[in-house]
Amino acid sequence: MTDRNAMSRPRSRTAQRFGFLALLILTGWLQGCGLLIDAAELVVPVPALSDGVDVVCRHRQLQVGISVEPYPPFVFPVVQSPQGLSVTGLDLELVQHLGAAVSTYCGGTPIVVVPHVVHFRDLFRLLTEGQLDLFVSSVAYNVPHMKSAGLAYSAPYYPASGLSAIARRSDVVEHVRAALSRPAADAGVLERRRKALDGLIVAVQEGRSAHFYAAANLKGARLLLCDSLTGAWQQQDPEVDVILGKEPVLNFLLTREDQLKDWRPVMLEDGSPFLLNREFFTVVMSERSFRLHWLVNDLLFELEESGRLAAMQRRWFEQDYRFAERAASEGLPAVIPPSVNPTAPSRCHWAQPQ
Amino acid sequence: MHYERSPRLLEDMGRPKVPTVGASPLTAPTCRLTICRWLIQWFLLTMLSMSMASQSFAQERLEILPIRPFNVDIALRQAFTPNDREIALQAGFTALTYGNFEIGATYQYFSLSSNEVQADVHSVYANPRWNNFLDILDFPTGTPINRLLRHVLFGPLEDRAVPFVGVIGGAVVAGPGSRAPTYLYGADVGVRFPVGHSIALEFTLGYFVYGLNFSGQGNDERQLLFTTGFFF
Repeated sequence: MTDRNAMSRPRSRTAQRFGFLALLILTGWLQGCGLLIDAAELVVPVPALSDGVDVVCRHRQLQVGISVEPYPPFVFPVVQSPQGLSVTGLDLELVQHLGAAVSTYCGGTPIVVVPHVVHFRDLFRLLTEGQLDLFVSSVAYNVPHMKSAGLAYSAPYYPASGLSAIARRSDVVEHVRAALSRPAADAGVLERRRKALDGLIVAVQEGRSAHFYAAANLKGARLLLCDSLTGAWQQQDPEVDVILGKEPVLNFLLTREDQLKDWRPVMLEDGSPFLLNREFFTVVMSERSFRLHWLVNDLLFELEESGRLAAMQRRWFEQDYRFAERAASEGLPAVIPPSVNPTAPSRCHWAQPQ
Repeated sequence: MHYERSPRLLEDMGRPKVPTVGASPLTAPTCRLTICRWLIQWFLLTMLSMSMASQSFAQERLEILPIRPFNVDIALRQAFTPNDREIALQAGFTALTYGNFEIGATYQYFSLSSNEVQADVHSVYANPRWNNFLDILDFPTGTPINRLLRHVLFGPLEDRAVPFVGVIGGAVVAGPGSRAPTYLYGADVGVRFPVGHSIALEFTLGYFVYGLNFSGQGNDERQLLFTTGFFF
């Protein structure tokens, strides 16, 4: 008995060592696991990644993120209606069409669109972690910044616009015009427009495209970062010279917002808008939601070709209406997480010098 | 790493002396009581973390067995002295998600071999987690503590990090000595950085208490385990 034990011990130790060596070699081959997957696929096809739209069909809910900061008329502020908190706007009408398209894709299963009011800064996390299916709030996809990276963007749903400016005082408008008319031999159109804002206090909404643009390109301006556009025009100390923002939003606000009656758009000498770039507003999704991405692109194409997209734009930009009434009659019930407070007072602070 | 309950101390406390070597240390009723107590504690902790996590994002989807993200962690150590090696393998998948609440299920294998210890420990455990737990500190209005902590901890990746805390509860299925199957519990804290295309980089510091020790002669072996790797 004792002899047999003594014999088996070295044998088991040898087996252990051999096993360990085999494991070590197998580990070394891990970089070639693509070949293992090829081999496995010869036997059984490796299932594709679950797409976001499958989850939507299963739960019968399309979780849509909208920005806590309003962008009229794309997204209006959340209002208290008899049905509860309600939100409306062009983007919300668009996602209702999208909900119908997803419903068709899911075989006619009714899909409820659930808008979540979230901070733009949390967008990547919420989309990548699967808590939201998509996000709409006039997001421009062609903004080179880390916050824009790692996400998927649909085809544009609004004609090309860009970043524009409004000013409170006429002397600021004149200052910009005068700077633009000065001859500059080696400066292009864009460089002249950027230089025209030098020395001015330029307010932008923090974390959105105007902020990224100004931080990267307007080195001579004094940059003030505000939580919202409302915060920018209400800022008194110091008084803001120019608000930089999305042209369609600023133009809409100038015509509808009483508090902006003293403000005017900064224009070029020929009366055309003072634009600093081109922006294309898109629907944002997670990179892996390929099927949902196709669905959104197809829907936008259909809406554009049929003229319904243009009709929607006219309805929200040109018609005379009160957004609170539209929110009550056709708005979607908004979900507001405890960490988000849409009524919080807007604040501004100076940008860190680059 | 060797924490053995003293029989002398138990005797002083009026409890019967419990042998620690060569026999099952716990009688069946005591064992049942311990496991029940532990299960209740673990359940309460899970419910607490679930309720706190669900508060942070209303109207969530409950995903049962989403499987992703899953992970496989391997550690190998072979010393050049005879009989000194260590193999650790851990494989897990996501069993449930509900907003910021997530339960992972993991199989863990440890093989320690040295002149003093020969141990092969097989464990399975559940790991309920509360993701983005820092966001509960969303006050005061001016400079919220959660934003401050995110900036300090994650710098430029502050808006792309998913910090989490979790509890660990499960069983050692097989191990040295005669105590297995026995309990396993602990806690973990870490951060996940979603990279994109279903890949995330995760750092986790876990504290584990096993219902046995690796020499097979006692209980409550404890260890800290730091893992870093990709989740798919």
